[in-house]
Amino acid sequence: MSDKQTNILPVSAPSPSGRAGVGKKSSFIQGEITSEFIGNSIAKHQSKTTIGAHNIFLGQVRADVIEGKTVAAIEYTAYEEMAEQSFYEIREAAFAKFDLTCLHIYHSLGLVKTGEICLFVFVSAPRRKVVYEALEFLVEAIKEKAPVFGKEIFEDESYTWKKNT
Amino acid sequence: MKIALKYFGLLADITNKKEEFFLLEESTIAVSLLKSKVENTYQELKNTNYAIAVNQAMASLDYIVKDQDVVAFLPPFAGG
Repeated sequence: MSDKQTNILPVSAPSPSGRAGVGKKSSFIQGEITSEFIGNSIAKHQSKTTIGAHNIFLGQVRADVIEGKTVAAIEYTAYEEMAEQSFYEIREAAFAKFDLTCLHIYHSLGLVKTGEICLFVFVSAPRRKVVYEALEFLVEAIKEKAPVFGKEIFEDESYTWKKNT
Repeated sequence: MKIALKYFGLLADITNKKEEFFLLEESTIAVSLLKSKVENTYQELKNTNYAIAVNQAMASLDYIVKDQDVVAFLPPFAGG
């Protein structure tokens, strides 16, 4: 391990509710993120009664048409160890910047068909204004910093590599 | 020195592998020089846009790679 680089490991410092175990549990989900999973995540917050506002971003796989061919699915791969580290750092930056109660990031790996959800970002705070800003900050940071790659698979099974725009 | 190279996405298609080990006579090597060596092996990389991470952190061209480091070749990110 290089001494010039920082590898932040989760420590057992006192953490606000919703942050326990941050950095240990995976942000990756195999395949699509289902509406059941999203619904259950919302339900789990009913016991956290200091929360007054949630905001949710859902990324959905779009049927782009590229050179006359229609995308049928995206197959996601990632440099998983580095991506988990990126998610952890993005989470820490968001907690430092915004007054949040908790936040969650989930990203798909493997095949996600068009119309299915591949990214689920969920922020909660006592008051509403902060959740709009925090969510945009998080989604933009994830797109910029997480080493996740998408193979856009066409209906005829040929493919191209997706680039974020 | 011995370093591990990892390739992702389009770059794994070009090299036709996900990981390999490189044995070099040097005891350290700058990222820029390592790039030229790898691009000599896989010519198609020369026309490809990619970034490099060393031990899971983004690395600039003048970063010095050492024995046992893990060097990842990363195409443009496409999360979300």
